[in-house]
Amino acid sequence: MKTLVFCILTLLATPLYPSPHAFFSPPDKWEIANPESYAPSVSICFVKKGRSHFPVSINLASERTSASLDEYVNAVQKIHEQDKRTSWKELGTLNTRAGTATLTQIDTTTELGPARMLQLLFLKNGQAYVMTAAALKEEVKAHYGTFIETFKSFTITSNLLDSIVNMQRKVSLTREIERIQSSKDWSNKLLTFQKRFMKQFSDLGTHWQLLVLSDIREACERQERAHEK
Amino acid sequence: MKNNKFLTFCLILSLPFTGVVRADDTHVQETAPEELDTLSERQIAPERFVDPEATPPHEEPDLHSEEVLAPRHFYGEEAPRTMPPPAENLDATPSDTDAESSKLDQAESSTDDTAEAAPAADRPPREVGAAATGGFDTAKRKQLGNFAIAVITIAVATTAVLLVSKHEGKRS
Repeated sequence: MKTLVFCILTLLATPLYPSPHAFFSPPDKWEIANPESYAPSVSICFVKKGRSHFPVSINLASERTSASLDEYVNAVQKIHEQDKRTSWKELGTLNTRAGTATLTQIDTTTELGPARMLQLLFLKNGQAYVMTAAALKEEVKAHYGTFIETFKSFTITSNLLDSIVNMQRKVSLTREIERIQSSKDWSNKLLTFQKRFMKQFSDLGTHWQLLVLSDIREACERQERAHEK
Repeated sequence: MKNNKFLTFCLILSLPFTGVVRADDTHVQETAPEELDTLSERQIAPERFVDPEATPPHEEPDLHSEEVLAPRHFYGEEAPRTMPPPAENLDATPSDTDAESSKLDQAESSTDDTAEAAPAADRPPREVGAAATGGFDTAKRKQLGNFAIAVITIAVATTAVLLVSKHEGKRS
């Protein structure tokens, strides 16, 4: 009986979203920066709360590429070394949840003074992922630990719900998502669900939560378009 | 009868040493240097530079070898005429013909390419690094934080909607 229940639960929790998702766990109490200020390749950026003129931030960017990791790192090095006000250094490798990535350091000058950035470069299936953490050079030492921990949390998954360790939690969320998707009034249901979801699953990080929400929304819209046809 | 065969065999064996026939007589590199001096560039082997396909494969100059380019690289433009041995001299001697100079230029550029990096086909496309520069540029923006604090304290949903619309915009 237990096996049967387990099988049913596993089936219910099968991947809803097969396309790969890249995300990371931002530091506690960091907030999402205004998406309108992102460069085109950046998908999300988090900033530390505070009144610092130069925002301490971590962002994730991605692009399609046919290059290998070494080629990509070399290309990035060339780009940064073209700017005389910028110095670039490869620090070594870092093990993330997605795999081994290359960690680099960029020192640059800004309007608010010299800044240091740590950049994590990772490649998988023809997609380059770049995480950039930045702070003023004089403040950066205090943030190294946070930056590295955030980099380590970088994950790539084809099923976002796999990140939920607790099976019961995973199944109940799956059912709820299915209910929203099957409803004609999905838009309103998603709004009420969203508030509850942000509270209940805050342990998985805001980035993960936003990806789940945007995926639900996308799936609902796709379904609606299909019905209209 | 057997003796005749043996003599013929010995004669054939001794031919290379008599000067009648040399095993690699047709090879340009074996031509005496003093003979080469009397010949003009065109007389030596014009087809080698004009139409490389017309020459047998073993005679084709190895333009990609470091030896060919060594005079230019290590001795400068004027130096090499007398310095290398005859065979190298033949390949490296500057010529007045356009075909030859273009060939040498081609060889030089191709040698430089192989020395610097992987073949062109294996090179990453030019636009590689857009994500790295995008991340860098975004991190440098000083107005990044203030807006976020205002928006997030009002509602997380607003940002989610913005992100979703941005995400969709990218896909389309």
